[in-house]
Amino acid sequence: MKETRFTMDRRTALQTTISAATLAVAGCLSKDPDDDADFRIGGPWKPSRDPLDGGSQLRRLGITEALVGVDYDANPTPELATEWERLDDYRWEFALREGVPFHDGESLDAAAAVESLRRTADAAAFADVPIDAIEAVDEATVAVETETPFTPLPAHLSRNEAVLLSPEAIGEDGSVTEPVSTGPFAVDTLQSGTELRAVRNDDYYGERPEMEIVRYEVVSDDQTRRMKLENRELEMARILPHEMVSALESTDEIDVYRHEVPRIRFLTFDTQSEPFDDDRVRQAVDHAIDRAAITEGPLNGVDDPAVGPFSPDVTEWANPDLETDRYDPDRARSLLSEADWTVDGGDSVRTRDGDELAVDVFTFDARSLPLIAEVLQDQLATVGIDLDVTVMEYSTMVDRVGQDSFDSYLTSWGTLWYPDPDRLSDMFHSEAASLHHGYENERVDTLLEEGRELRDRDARRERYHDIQSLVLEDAPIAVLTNYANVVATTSAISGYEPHPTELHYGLDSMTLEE
Amino acid sequence: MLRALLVRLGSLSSVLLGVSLITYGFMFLTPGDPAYTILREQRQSPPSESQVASFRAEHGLDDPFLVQYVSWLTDALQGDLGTSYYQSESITSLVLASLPNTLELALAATAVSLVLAVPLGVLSAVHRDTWIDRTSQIAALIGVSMPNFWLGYLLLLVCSLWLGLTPVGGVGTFGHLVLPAITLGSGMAAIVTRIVRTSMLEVIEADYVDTARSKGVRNRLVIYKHALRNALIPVVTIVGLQFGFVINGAVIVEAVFQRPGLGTLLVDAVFARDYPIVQGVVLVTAIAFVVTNQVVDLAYVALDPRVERGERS
Amino acid sequence: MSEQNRLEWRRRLDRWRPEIRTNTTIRLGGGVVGLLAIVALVGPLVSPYEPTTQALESRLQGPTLAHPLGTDALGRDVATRLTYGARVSLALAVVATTIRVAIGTTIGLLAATGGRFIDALLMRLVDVQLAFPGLVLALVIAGVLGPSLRNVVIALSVVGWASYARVVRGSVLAIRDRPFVQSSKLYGTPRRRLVRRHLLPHVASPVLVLATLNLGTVALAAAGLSYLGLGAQPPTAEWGTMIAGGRNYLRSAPWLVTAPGVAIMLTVVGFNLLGDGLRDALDPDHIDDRKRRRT
Repeated sequence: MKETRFTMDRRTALQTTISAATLAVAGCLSKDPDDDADFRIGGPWKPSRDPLDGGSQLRRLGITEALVGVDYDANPTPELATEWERLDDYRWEFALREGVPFHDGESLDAAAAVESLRRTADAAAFADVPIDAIEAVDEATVAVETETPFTPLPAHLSRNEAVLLSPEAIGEDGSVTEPVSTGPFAVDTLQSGTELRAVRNDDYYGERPEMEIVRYEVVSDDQTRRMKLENRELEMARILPHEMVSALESTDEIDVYRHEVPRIRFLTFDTQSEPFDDDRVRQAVDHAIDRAAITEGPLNGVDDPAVGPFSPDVTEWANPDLETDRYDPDRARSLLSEADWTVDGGDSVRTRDGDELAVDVFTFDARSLPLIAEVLQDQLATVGIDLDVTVMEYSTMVDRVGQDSFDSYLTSWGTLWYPDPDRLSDMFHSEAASLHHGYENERVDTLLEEGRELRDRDARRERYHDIQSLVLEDAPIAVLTNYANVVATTSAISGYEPHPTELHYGLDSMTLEE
Repeated sequence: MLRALLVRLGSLSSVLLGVSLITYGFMFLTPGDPAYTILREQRQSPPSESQVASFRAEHGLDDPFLVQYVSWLTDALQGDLGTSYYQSESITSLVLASLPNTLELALAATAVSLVLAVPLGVLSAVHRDTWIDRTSQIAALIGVSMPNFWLGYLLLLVCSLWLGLTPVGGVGTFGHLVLPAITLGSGMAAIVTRIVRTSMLEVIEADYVDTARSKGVRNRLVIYKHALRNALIPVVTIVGLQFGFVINGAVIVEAVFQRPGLGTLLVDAVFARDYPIVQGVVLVTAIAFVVTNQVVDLAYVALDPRVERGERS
Repeated sequence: MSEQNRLEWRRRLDRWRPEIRTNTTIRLGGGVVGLLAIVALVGPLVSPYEPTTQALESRLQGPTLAHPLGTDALGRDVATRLTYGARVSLALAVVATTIRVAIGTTIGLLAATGGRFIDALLMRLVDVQLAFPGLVLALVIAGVLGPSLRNVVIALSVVGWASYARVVRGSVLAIRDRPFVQSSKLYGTPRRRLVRRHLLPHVASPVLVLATLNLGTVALAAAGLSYLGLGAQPPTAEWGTMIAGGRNYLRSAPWLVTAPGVAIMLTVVGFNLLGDGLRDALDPDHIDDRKRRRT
């Protein structure tokens, strides 16, 4: 009696369990049957429909193009304009490439370019670019006038917001429904914030890419991106954390590319509030940091230590004579003592008038920054500075330091995202800077203003080199490391050449082995 | 009956009003100025004070709280949840785009939990206090105690990386659904197993089963089928009430498996301080949650004649 | 506490005691929780390492005798960090739960003993709180306040009190009209004494059971919030944060994710066993699985 009951129930239960297991296994085995893309890229950045919302993914995938491009030395280069000329201090003329169709078949002429550029120039993203007028000179020439002499104009016209869109794609109210441009690929489907599928533009004026369908997928978690590559759900994984490099390099059939880009990690100090209103305290921090320990340790030797905004390996705008060996904890200690921050008793944290030398550093969870903050915490403790780390989201941090006083924040910046050293104005000009250090140095301001107007490249270079030496001593920021992008692909991909400003992925020159 | 229904509707709408008030109130509790955030994002550099001030005036951000709240609520009632700070996309369309993925996950997780829990719970009850019972209780205990982000990683490691059976992340195919559903479903299964066991025990010990037995119904299967049917009534309730659990879990499981859904939308927005999205998602989930609970309540009343009408709170 | 009051508590305690002693579940759960408490208290004292001292030259080492659970990306001893993490997790769960109990009990008592209007108002408030999926609300609150352990405690306290309010109100209503309460009311016993002598003892057992079960879910939710990046700040050792930090080393250093994961699981198992055992022993009919909300 009891026996039969047991068997009965076990059998029913077993059947259910088995059917569940079959279901699960069946699920496991069905792998993307309808994904027909030749090339799948995973990256953390979200694609958007309107280039003005941050059109980097559209540009990188080769969908949008601008008058000006960026070459492999991070200098402006012709793209949809074949050449340009600065007629006087204020007026520029750009000659359009001829016979270029938009993805919708409309042809690119001066009128179309002017309409698209005006939309860009009016946008908030271009508020700091002093464009006065944009007009068509003839069918194939566009003139741009600036309010002030503005040498970085071509560099700004290479930005992802300045891409040319078909007049048909721009609505009456200036809104953009679909990013219709001229690149080697055209948008097939776009799910904002999730996924972008692009197909080859067979009418492209340049060389026709080999790939037909490309899919970009947002995979914000680093580890997931890497695993998807290893699991062959992606052909390319962008921007992987440095701690994965050695493991990936030893993985079969995965190629790892690490290339230095014009990007730095650095600490920004609030020079308007205690204790960093004192140069000596900022310099002390600068000397207390063992940059090599950071790059060799948590960064796995992928990045190099840095002291200035530009890397000599990437651009000639870098001042090659900056003193790079800054690590000197004894000097840091004596600077702090000079500033009256003294060690008393057995306590390891320095004090002044009873206040402890305890400072906050804010940072955000990307590009190994939290890990670096923790190392800094340890290094600064050895000279008697108590560093308190808070990890927040990027925009939270920027809003906070922009509106309140703070001690310091650790961040990462692209230093040539428009390829001109005038970018240093964003970093150090007393009024124009978007860093919140509150730093003022008249000499630096003057040099920056001259550099922005001068036409001669050598004269500009001299000024920008001087600026780099000056700010190194004033230390409104402490640069820590350069930055290398880590990108991994399956070995089936060849012909990938990483671009220094990541303007494009170069899909048109890549090939795929079957 | 009608009166009871009206009372229920009345209390429902007052709850929803409170929910919307709290949801909207968040923005006013937050440090920082949305105008500053929006402008900084648009300009890619910090805006000046006068720019912030004119933006505030232009967008009615200086109006009193109640004025802003009422205008937001009026729009929301018409299906317009506003626009994100960072993307020009409307929030309604963002929510609608993520909703199917989350619903899919919720249904799949519920299915997984039932498939695991019903046999386990029945076996436990039938073999009360034997090793079978104990094992299944231990399994349930572990299931409910495991942090789902951790379980998710373990499953990823084994199923995707070592065995290469499932895709690592994203959405699209049935395969993409398997691991997230198991991760989310196992926690639910643990709770459902207990309910099935408890109510099955109640039913087995109830009089009518004895009666059936004494009348000489020999076929155990019939008895248990009968018992199971009655035991499943509370299960219906619990499955409905688990909706909240599913939403909670989705927040984390979607993050682990990088599934675009309501959870990811919310987490991203919370971190980016994109409050219009936060408000939209919270409002939608809360409404869905409240409405599901009400429906489940009603279903419970309808299913089980033993429940007194109107007395349940 | 008056003599009578104490007697009432005593009576209740005596009623539980034999069952508690014989209940293996309670013993098991108590054992696990006790063990964790010992680890949390003693572990940091006996460990030769500091939880925050870095040793970049010995980073990401696998388990060895010197480092039984290996080292993390900055060369810190994982075992040591785990024991400090136990302090954080236990303290966090206890503090957040205590606040929940305090808020919930107060509101429940007020609702049950106040007038109709107060009752209706408070219960609507409870409904509104319960209308939000707990973790969603906690996530939003913690996100708004900014990342820190204190804010996690606040977020988790604000969301979880409503179930207590309901349970307390229910238990009080159940005995409000009983003769012994009625008679003391007739004798003019002041309300505070009435609450303390008759009502609180009656609600103590369901609240205790609910709270114990809740400790586990609070610990889980706190780890989840920390995992998402809203909790402990570096260099504080916290289990959820440790898992998030070990994520990038899932393949090369799996112990970084496994060790804190097992620790969280053990803690929650302990609390759940204890709660289940207490429930079986006390058998307050107010709580069943249907009312256990997960936050």
